Parts: sequence; structure tokens; C-alpha cells
Amino acid sequence: MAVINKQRVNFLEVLPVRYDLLPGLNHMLMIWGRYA
Amino acid sequence: MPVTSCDSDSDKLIIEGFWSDAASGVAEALPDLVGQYDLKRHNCALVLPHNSYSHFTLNKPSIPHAEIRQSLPWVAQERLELMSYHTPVLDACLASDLLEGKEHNKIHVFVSEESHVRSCVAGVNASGLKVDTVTVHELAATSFIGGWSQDSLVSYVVISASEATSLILVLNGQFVAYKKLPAINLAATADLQRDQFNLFWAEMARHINYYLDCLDKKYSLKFFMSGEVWQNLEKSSLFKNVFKEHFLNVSSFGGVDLSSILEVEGVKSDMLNVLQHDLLGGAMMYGSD
Repeated sequence: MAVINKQRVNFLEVLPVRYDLLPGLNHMLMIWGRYA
Repeated sequence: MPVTSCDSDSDKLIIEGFWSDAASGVAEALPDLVGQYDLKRHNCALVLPHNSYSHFTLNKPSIPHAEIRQSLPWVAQERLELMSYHTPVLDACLASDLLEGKEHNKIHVFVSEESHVRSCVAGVNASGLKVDTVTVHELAATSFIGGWSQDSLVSYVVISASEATSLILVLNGQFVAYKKLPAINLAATADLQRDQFNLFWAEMARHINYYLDCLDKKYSLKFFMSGEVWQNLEKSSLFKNVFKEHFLNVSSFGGVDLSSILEVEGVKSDMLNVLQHDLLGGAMMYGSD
């Protein structure tokens, strides 16, 4: 993990997960929803 | 030396600085660099330029540090309402613990547009690299400047004829403050230049002195410049006089010719002069692994 002394900022770690950007996950959720 | 701050034995790398239209040369050059230096799937840090995010400080909320990041949208709500972000993405870090007075117990908050960050990451990843950090200009620069700042407040000034001037203050490896100042118009008449120079250095001195006064004890001041015009400035008698008027207490003064350290083929050198500390600083972020 990258370190900038103690003062560290990483936007990548705070980006919210967007399901529309993860078509595979979306598909899995759809299947899960069908059988749950 | 054609490229970069890459260590071929390591799987970590920083490439990048600006990802704006003005610096599209970097974007165009990246896939070629990745191929040329066999960098596919290397981790890299992406350093956002200052014009693609906002920065402000807030009093540190009385919650555990681990929760500050999650609570930022609420903690920073008042400030965010004044900004025009569509979907803001926020991260924060603690301010230097060497600051006292009004600057004591603060956090630095950085805000960017989510879609912008995503498109930057996608752009770099498309070149074959793997972005594992998206950080900001002043913190990348801090990791580059940090080594010169033992027991001295380092003022690192990136002076460009066309872009705003960046002033970054670092002490004992810690980021202290950032200030954006207007570009210096070197084409102006001598009288106008003197006035502009005075205002410019007075504003810079005011800012530096403010932070010197906020530190936990007295520190000496070191002053370094880089950017495309610092060599011209250093030779100018007007600069010497004005600089001396405003900075009586400088213990060390010098320019940093980054073009001798780093060159990236296909990228305009004037652009790189502004960016190189980001590139090198980003690479140094991996140094403490």
C-alpha cells in the first residue's frame, strides 16, 4: 500500500461502488434475487 | 535519460501528473511508455492536478480517525453546499501535528468529481498500468520535498509563466500548507513588473510568515523554486531586490532543475517542468513499503 508519511489521501479507496459499472456483479445479484 | 521514475525491479511505479486537456500529451504518451519500458500491470499512483479538486481545512471532528473518512460528507456538508460538484468524492488526512494556534487540530479535506476520478483511473488503466492510488498534487510534492525539510520549513515554489504559481510548505516531511498564486507576467513593462513582483512576493511572504508563526517552535526557512521561469527570475536584479525585501530570514535558497532528473519522451518540456515534482513525488510514495 502506498504511503505518504502519515498524511495520505487515496480517492480510489473512497469511491463508492457503482453496480452499473460492474455488469458481472449485477448479473450475479439478479440471479441471487431470483433464487433467494 | 529518456524516462521515468521507474524501478524495473519493483512492481510499483508512478506515472502521471496532469490529466487535463492541457496535458493530453501525457495521456497520449502513456501507452507507448508502458510498451517501451515493459510496464504492463505495474501498480501506479495517479496524481491529480490542483485544478481538478478542491481543498479546504476543517476542525478535526471528535471521532476516531478511522471514522473520519466515512463521516466526511456530513462533516464537510456546509462547505460542500457552496461547491458545484455533481457527485463529490471526498478524502481527508490529518494536518501537520507541528501546527499550533488557529491551525491546530485540523484535517485537510480534498474533494473531486467522482466521474472525473473514474475517467482518470480508466485512462491510466487503459494504458496497461494498474492504478492503486489516486492522490493530490500537494501530497505528491510533499513526498518529493520532504527530504529537505528536516527542522526547516521548506517553501517550494513552482513558478510558471502561464499557469498559476504553486507554493507548498513542508516541515519534517509533513505537508503544512498549499497556496495558489497568480502567474507572473514577465512580458509586462518594468514598472508594472515591479508592482506585480511586489504584490506577488508580499502575498507569498505573508502566507509563509503566517505558518512560521503557527509552528510549535522557531524553524529556519528554506526556499526552493522550480518551473519553467525560475532560472530567468534568479538572474534578474529586480527579482533579487524584491525577494530580499520580503524574505530576510531565508537560511537556504536555490532552484531545482527537474528537467535534468526526469524526461518523458513525447511530452512537452514546459509542461513537465510543472509536473515533475508530482511524478517524482508519486514514485517516492512507494519508498516506505
